[in-house]
Amino acid sequence: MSAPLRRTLILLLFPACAVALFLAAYFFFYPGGAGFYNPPAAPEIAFENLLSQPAPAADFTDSPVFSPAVAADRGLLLVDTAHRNAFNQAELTALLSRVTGRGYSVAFLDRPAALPEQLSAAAALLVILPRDAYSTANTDAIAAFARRGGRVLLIADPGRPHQINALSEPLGLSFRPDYLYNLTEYDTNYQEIFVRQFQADPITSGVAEIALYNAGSIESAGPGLALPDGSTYSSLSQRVATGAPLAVGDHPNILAAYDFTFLIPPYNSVRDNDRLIANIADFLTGGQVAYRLTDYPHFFRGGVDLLLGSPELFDLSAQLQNHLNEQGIAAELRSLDNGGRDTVFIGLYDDAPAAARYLDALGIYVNQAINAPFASGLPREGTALLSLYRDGERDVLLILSDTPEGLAQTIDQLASGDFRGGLASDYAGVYKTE
Amino acid sequence: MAKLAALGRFLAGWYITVPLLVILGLAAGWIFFFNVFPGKPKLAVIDIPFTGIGEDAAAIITAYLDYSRRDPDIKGVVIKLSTPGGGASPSEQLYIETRRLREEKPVVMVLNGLVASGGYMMAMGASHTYVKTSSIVGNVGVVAPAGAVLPPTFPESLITTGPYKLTGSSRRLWIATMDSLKEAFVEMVVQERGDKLKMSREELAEGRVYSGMEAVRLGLADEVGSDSDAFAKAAELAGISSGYEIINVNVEVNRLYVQNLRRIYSANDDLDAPLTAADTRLLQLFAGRQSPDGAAAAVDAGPSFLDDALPSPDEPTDLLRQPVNPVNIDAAQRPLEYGVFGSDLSQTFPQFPLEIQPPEFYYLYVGAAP
Repeated sequence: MSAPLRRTLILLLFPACAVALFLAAYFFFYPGGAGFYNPPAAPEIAFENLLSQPAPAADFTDSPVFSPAVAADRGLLLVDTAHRNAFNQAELTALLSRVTGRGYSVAFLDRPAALPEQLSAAAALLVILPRDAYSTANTDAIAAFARRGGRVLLIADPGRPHQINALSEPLGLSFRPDYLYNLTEYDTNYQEIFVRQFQADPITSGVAEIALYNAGSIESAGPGLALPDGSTYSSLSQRVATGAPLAVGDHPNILAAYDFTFLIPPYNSVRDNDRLIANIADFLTGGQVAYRLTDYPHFFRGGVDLLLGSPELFDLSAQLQNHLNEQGIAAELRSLDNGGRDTVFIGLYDDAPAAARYLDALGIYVNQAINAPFASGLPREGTALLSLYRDGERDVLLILSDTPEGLAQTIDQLASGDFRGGLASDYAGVYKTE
Repeated sequence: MAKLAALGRFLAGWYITVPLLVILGLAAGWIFFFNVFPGKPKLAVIDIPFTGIGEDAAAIITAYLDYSRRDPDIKGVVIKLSTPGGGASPSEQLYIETRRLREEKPVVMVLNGLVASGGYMMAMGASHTYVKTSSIVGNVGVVAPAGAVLPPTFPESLITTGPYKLTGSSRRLWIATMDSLKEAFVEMVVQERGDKLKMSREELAEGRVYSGMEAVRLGLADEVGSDSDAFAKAAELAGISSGYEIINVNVEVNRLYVQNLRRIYSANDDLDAPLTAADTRLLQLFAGRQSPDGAAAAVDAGPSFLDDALPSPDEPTDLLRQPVNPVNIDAAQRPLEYGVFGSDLSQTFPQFPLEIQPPEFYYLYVGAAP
């Protein structure tokens, strides 16, 4: 080897060693030889396709069954506000406007103890989200009210506090502690469900699809009217919901809804909600309450004719007229029974033949003694007779006694409500006079 | 001269020249490899202890991610995460930043304890996720306070130019917006997990949490493993051997931060200099966050207050753990970086007739008892 070549080789040692160490380190730390990261393809996420759109409002024109101009004051809807009910009246606008459009007036219950008395004036009762439990006495009064033809609507909402089951369970309705949800199809939130299956009923007539915004399920003695589909679940069971958010109790006059929000604007205008609300208003205003004598004077609707057995009793008619006017009932003295309007007949027992058609219909006969289905041979002296004749079209109240003083005393008992203590049946009572 | 010539001949001898050149060559290769070319690879570790993801936490974590992305020596990142989620916007920011980091370097995440909602959204940005069997993972969805309900008609004291000027939306549209965010979250998970996901969109949208092993079974996470598994995976994805160095990003970022703070305040280090109005205001802002009495004490202490407030650069602290007393780093950071921005709106507009409530969506697991 020549000297220049040897020098060249020796000088190459420097870069060779540098490269060798570099490569050694490189392959030690980067065993694959690459040492560089190949990032995975980042998925494209089409967020613009994910926008939720609320269901549009549906046009609906309410057609009240009755024109308020023709049939004003057809009845009274009593709304419970005496049990710390969890709603405000503005939320009831959609429903109450339809109720009043059907000739009903609306009153609000302000004391639980006043329920039986105020219920006697009502044809329908609306109980929404009571936070105080109903007493047994009031529950019984409501059950009796429904049996007599009064319409009862119970509403609760899973999103608000309530103790409605204390009232509803004796009426055959149990509001379950759940909410309904649908993760597949909903309005703007999984708790805002659509319902498309309905039991045939006037309540669901013409209703094809409703949207409920906070619904729960009701176990009911009567049929469920709105039936969730197979993709709607109950939060309680984590299974397909079996209860219905709209159901009938143990009497057809008792209806329950486990969603309050569908009544509240703007939710009331989604899908067929407005039609359902109109149907509910028809339900509330469609009852025929079988009034009893104890419901005096609430069975009188519109004007009342006053008929006297003899002209001498004129002062007594004025006394009764004043009392009825105080109750908001217009009473006018008439000389003849026109047979079409509600009437009060005031007379002595001797005038009984003038009211015989009504007394006979009630099975009451006034001769030397008084004979009635509840008792016979009752004396005329020192007594007064109250009876209520009803034929579905009109109510006729009969007030008879042996003396004008006895009649005056009986009219006082009517005004004070004391007469209720002496009723012998739902439609008649005999009282001692002094 | 003769001696020098003899030394030259000695050095020119092969038994000297060869070893010398070998040593020099190896040294040059060493220097080049470790200082110029890739060098010894590094894996970064970011530790996110149990933290709610608010704006401050998101800013700090973003700084960690950004540091990891910018340092070319860092070849892969391991993130140890535990969080119930937090604000929607901060959570989404962390997802985007993590995903951006993943596009440059492998990001392996260890889901420790609870990683839910917005935390899980952030995990969607990772290249690979490990869970413990006892981890709690999932809770895809959105939660938002309903906010104050305004009266149906506004008081005369307030005039607006549109029906939604105050509320910004109807309640229905607000809920629809919220649902859109949920759908986006679900879509994010579906797309990021791809074929690994073994559950339907509807099941995902239920918002459930799952144990670690169930999360792996359902494809919500990749494997059951620990920190060492995560480092090994990060090295594998980065194409490096086990001879990597580990950098604690929390410490590095905090060191830089403290150094910057000291540099910013170096002009005020003269203890004898009188406080300017701006200095006083700043000190009040620092101390006022700690206690009502702190503001006055801070002003009395003067600029030396910072010496007590800030840690030494030699003792870096963890921003997320906030151990500094009496003024923690976060309390100092906010007014420094943002001045008085973000302060209470009711104090900013004391005469405004309504309580100002900025609406907020949360990707948050609140841990309510089932």
